[in-house]
Amino acid sequence: MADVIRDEKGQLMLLTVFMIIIEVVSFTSILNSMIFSANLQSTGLEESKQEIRDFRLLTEAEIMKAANYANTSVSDPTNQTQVSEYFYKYIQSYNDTIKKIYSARGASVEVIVNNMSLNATTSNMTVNKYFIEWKNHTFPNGSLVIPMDDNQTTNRAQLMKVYGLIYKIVDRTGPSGQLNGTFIPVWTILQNPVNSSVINFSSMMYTTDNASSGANILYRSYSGGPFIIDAGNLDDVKRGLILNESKNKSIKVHELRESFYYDKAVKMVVPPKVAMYPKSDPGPMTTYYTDSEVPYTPLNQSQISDGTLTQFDILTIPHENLLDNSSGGQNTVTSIEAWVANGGVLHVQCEGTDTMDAAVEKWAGSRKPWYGFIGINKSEKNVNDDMTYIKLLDNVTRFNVSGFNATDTFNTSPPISLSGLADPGAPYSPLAQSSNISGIFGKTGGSTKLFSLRRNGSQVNPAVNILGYAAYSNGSPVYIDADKPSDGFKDVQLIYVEAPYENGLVTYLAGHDQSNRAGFAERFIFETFFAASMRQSLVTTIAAKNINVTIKYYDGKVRYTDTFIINS
Amino acid sequence: MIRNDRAQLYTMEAIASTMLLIVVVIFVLKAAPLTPNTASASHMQVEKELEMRGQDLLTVLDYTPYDTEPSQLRQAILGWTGGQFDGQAAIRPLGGPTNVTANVFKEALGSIGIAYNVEVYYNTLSGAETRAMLWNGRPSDNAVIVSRKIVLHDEEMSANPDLSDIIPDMDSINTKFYNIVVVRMTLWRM
Repeated sequence: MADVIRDEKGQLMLLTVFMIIIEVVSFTSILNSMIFSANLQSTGLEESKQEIRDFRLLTEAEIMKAANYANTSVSDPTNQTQVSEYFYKYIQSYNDTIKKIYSARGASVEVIVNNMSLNATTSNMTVNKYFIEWKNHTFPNGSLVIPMDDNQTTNRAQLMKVYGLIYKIVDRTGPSGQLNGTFIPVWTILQNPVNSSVINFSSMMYTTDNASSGANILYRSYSGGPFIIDAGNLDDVKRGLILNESKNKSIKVHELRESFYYDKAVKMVVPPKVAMYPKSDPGPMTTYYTDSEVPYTPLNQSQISDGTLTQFDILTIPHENLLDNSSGGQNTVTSIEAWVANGGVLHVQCEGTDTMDAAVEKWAGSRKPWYGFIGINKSEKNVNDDMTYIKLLDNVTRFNVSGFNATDTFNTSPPISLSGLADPGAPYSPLAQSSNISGIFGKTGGSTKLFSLRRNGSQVNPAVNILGYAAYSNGSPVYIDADKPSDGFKDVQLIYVEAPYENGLVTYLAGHDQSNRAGFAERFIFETFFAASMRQSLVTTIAAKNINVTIKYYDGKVRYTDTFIINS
Repeated sequence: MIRNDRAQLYTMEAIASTMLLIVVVIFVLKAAPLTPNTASASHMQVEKELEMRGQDLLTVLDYTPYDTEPSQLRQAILGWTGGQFDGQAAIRPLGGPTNVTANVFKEALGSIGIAYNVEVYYNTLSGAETRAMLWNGRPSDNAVIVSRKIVLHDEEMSANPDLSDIIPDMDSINTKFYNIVVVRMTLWRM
């Protein structure tokens, strides 16, 4: 072994080896640092990326917001110009503000909406709860008017045919005829039918009495809630179909020759599906529907109970004893009760009225604090047909019976133990439209000719509304003790009442055959149509779609431009 | 000297000594402890982590679970009355969403030794303004800033007149656009 202490060559070699080791270590360290640095995020560019990402996300969100606000904030969401202007103004405000935010950071941004399309979407909105929405509406010149008074006819059966026609006009899935599959909304104007002396019993319109020929143009008075088809919903083809169908049915159609405004108009966009019970013995219902040519479906007990009923909007029951197991029974009655609570419209007549209340109380009494659906008693003692005239009333009609104050009305207590029972009464109700100038309808017989509200106020549905009371031929109210057995108290006798029941509606109409009553009382059968269809409305919205946007970003290091499409 | 082995040896020793010194210096520098005021390239990783933590926190707080429910961060802004609250130990905006959000900041950052300031920057008709919402002191040189932009709308501002007195409506053409605020958070290690 060399003597490295004295041998300088040996020392040199050792030093060289030592240096090589240090160089390798240093080189490795430096290389490591270089690799580390190279893999570190480039801070400046990362910041730009983050800003661009934020800007884009924010812009996308605000464009969606602008489209949404444009649709919900304008006074007329069906007006394309309003929707479009609002959208562009919103984006302009956003663009101006976001520019300032970024300029403070030394960056410039810009949002450019290149183009967008406005889509009109019409959808059918169903609300669960029964309600009547009066609308202010101006019917333009050229709208079709179908009179429901003597401008139409003085023949009962002929007047009922109008219901079949309007059903067909609205029905897009109609069973037959030229109008099959045609969908045109039909309006009615709700008037005050109490008698011809009240405001809005009739309305003046400037019309031709023949929409086909355009003849006899003059101002006419219309009562009884005429139906109107807005000219805006008509084209030549649809107008031709309606006029042709009405001609086939001998129904008169007038036409507005100047616009007509009304503040209590209602619109039907979907015809209600009508069911009838029982299937085996529909009684006078067959006459009603034969007269009107309105489609209906008879249901039997099992169809009521198995859920088939839920496919219908209206259930009409004539003189049926619902307490009788062969006609009603627990399953049937509880199914009907549940269906009404869920929004169904129930129209019951004659013996069905008091037995329905009793049956509901018996099998579903615990569901509510009052008795049955409404809380009525059958009136049968000392009752005769001369007491069965119907008088429509309002909440100021005087209760003109001896023994009571001259100022008493159906809303005071007494004569009825509850207040507010005829509020609003028949005025502007779709269930009581009539052109009968006296507001009185003729008499008829029946198992249940009259009924009264239960004397115990807690047993009466608090939302009950009296549409028509029982009267003598001169219109004076029937005020007798007709309970059996007698309870010793006289009661105001009633014939036609309505009451909301949870989400649905119940109407009771005493008397066997409404077609026997003078004054077109048969109309009351079909006036549930508008009440039932009020749950449906068409909602047309204009929405900004396919919004083509360009965003620009520049911060001195990074320039970014992107164009993309947003579907709101 | 070329032929003189001793001279070469001295030269080599000098070079070796120099390199050793350099390596030692580098090692010592790398081993220096972190302090709030330490600034060096070696702390980029720490800063980056702080930045990511802050940005993630703002992103999470600005998450909107339902269209109808504003994010926690938005609620904090909408419930703020413009006051400055000092110190992360005692959060002063008692009650309401601003307090909830302040507590989230405290739990997510304060509890692990990260100091933070939260400021709100917004445009005014005459320029721009910044107001401190949560203030924990002057940040160190190594502080990082993260931000989140929130667009305010008319309907949100109507419930808080104090806030609408501070932040003006930048929309002069009567839409529901109101203003944009930048929630700016400064973070640094304590």
